[in-house]
Amino acid sequence: MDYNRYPEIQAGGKPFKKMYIAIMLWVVGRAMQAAARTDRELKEEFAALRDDFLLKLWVLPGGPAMLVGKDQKGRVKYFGWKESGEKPTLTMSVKNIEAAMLMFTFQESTTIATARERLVVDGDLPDACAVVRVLNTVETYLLPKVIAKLAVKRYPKWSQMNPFKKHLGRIAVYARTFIGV
Amino acid sequence: MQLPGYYEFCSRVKMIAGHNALEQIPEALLALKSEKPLIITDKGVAAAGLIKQVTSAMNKSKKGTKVKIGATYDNVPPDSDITVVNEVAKLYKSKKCDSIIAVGGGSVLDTAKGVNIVVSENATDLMQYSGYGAIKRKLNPTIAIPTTSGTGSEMTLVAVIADHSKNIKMVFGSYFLLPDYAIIDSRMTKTLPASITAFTAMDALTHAVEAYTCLGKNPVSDAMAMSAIQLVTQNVVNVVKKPNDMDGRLALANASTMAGIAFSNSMVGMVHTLGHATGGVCHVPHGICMNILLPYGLEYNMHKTGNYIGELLYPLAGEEVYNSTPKKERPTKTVEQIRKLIQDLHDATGGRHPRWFKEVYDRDGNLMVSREKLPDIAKTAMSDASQFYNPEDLDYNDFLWVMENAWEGTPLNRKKVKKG
Amino acid sequence: MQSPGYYQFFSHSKILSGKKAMEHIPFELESLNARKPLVITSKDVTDNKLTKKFLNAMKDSGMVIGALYDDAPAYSGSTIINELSKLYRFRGCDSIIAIGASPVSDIAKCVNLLATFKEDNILDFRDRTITGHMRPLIMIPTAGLLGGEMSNIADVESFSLQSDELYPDAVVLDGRMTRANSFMEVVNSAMAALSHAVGASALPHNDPINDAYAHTAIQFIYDHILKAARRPKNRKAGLALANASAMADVCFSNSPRDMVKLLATAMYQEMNIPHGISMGILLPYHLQMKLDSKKKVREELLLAMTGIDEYAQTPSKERASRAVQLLWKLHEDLAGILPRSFNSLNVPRYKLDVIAERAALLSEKRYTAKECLKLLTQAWEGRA
Repeated sequence: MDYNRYPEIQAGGKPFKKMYIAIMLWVVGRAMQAAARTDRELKEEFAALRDDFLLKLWVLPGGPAMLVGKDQKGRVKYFGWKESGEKPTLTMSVKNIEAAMLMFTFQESTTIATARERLVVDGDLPDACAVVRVLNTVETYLLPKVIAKLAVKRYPKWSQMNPFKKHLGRIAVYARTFIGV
Repeated sequence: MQLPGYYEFCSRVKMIAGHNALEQIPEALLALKSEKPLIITDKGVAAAGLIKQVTSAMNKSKKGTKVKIGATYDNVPPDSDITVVNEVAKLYKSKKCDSIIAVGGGSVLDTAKGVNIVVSENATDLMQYSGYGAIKRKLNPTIAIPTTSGTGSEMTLVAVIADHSKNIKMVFGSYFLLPDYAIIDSRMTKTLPASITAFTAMDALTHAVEAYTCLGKNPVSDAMAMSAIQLVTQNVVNVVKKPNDMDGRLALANASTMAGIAFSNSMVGMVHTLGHATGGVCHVPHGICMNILLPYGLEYNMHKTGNYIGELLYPLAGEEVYNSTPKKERPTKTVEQIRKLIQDLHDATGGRHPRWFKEVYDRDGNLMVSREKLPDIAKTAMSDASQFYNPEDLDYNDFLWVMENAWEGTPLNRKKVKKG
Repeated sequence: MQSPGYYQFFSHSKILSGKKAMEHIPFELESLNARKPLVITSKDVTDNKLTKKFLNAMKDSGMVIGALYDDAPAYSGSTIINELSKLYRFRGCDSIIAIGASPVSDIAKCVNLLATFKEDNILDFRDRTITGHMRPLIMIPTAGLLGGEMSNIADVESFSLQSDELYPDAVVLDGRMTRANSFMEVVNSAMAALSHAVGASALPHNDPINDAYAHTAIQFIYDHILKAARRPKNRKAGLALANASAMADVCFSNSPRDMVKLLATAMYQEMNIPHGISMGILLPYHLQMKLDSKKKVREELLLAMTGIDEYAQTPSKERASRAVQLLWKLHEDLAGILPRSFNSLNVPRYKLDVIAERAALLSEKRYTAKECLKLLTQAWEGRA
């Protein structure tokens, strides 16, 4: 057998998809920070989390990643895409880039993705429940209803009952996400 | 039949089932290249004479080598604990054992899994191996012999071990935690008292029903779940009334294992969410919680999974009832059927099998779930991940509302369910 | 439902099925502590662009493929197996990914044996009991399965190896890979799977676990075979039938080969007729014969074929015969693709004795040549 006919193959990359996911993770991370300052229920969810809460949501095997946690003053902060010494208390690892694409193009909600074994959750598991609820709320803020409904099991009533609150809240979250107000 | 968009299924345990399955243990140990097993069990199992039965069946066997038991540990508590895990691991190492035979219920099986991690990986800190996928290679051989029908823990890749000193529960998840063999022998549940037979069978029933109706459902789990439900329904009341019905005992044992395979591959939903919380806050045995909450879980989710719930009428009630019930009415009839089964078990056990939480008393006659504890239970439920596999969302108020009805024994008013 | 009896059952493989299933492979390998697979496949897989789809699915995973061998022959011979095990070691591989149908799967399982035990000649494994923990093996079936790819059996030259260690660690069923090219491919695979599943459910002891797998396989086939036969490239149907094959292989691994399987094997050896086609012809005759001689035919077959509603409405006494009727109906619906009889395939009558004898020999005395001949003759003559 001529071994040269069957060389080693290094798996290629998916740079555009990786970039898309990186952007989406940035948006979601910033939006979590923003929504925690805007939405009362989210403030309460985060308040109930441990003081050193640090979530790492990332794509195996090498990123991109998003880190969100509480700073020393207990405020929710987006900490960027690189770990810097503090070990995450909760890690949600999406098994591969395509699974991440399914999640962040809303073909599979976080809940469906979990039911379909697309991600692995490690660390303080009770906090994971809060994080999924937070992600659901954040997606409801960021996305139009027709898409958000794909991403969540039950579209929250507050957004249907109080258009003033809904629109004001949405504007605030967008502003805080993208401009960092 | 619907093929899910994506699913995973794995049931990687060698099963030996039957009235004389225990006699196969020496052959199993030979195949596992083990000569000195450690038996792990609890005082209840030992007192019921089950360990003697296991060892005598092993010695009677003509196949395999004559087995020399390395050691026996029979002090596993009802809640698997890290101190016990470390104690047992020490015994394993000091006696130079090379495999584990776990004889017991969920706690014994979980403890055995924990011990196996410690001895196989030479672990000093079990916490390092917690989470999913932290264990990456084959552990030492294990044989699981369940003595209840049951938790199905012999088929799950998860172990939960509490560290009471730090007030945390460590969860371990890996395919390598699955035992090599599961031995399902009717003799192991022969002496199970009527009330335990009843609620452990309901535990198995709940596993199967939730596996069939929740978000992780897949075709293989469905087939396992259907069979499990049929086996429970056809046998549980008979076995409660006639404890020596060995065919019935074997059927329930099989049902428990099949339900274990089903739910470990398609997860569970709100019945377990609330059940875990009630168990955590009020220490009510798991099977009792499952039994009470099952009809409520179905009522709550009916607007989303009515068609699946309707299909379950066939294994629960048989073809006559199924055929004579119009399709639209089958889901509610299924829930009725389950309530009827609970009532039948209540009657067959002389009132000891509880139908709702205000009927649950401990051995000293104290009410185990007081009304005042319900908010705590609802709050605890919010942190249980199984809710994400539930077809419908639940917030704190939903959890509380369901618990209030399950406490009182009043069916859910489905019109009040907030639909997504 | 019948009460469970005494049984032993084992299925090792993890099944991953559905959208983007292949993309999970690097994670699965990593969880088995493996990172550098040898990929074994055949030219037709590459020609159908499936190898490319696989490589695309591996992108971004950082995986290094030790070698991608796509020249697997149509025969699982010891020479190629021994050679590939050398390539495995030369490149420092730690796992195998097999893409395709038999004999790619047989070759892969055998290479894995040599690689795990660090031996050089697969023929040394003949008549040996295989124990020990194998290196990881992942199977990606394509269309045109012959049955047994995902089982615990590997065929090598003229003999078979069977051991629970031969099961793949993971079976990856991905719609991109399971689309068929022809009606024949679809029917051959589906009939093999159907026969394996039906055969497994006819065990004398009651094994509810095996029944569950058989039930799922039969259900998948009955729900999708006509769609797939009419439009072989139908992705959903292709995936469903691949699922059926996976389930049927589990059954196949846990039950002895029945008369249908043995006759089909003998027929292939004598006349080169694909197993699935032979099994598809034989199956309804076999069950009809059992019915007619008042032997047991499981009524649960009907449940798998039609679903709960029709099953529940059919009186218990009539379920077995209705199931057999449905087998005949399937036979008719597949007319033009599945031959009606062996006669129509130009199998000479004088060959039947030899084939029946061979099947009886393979059965290791479970069946007599006379019994085999009776069934074979009926299937040769065809239904009036």
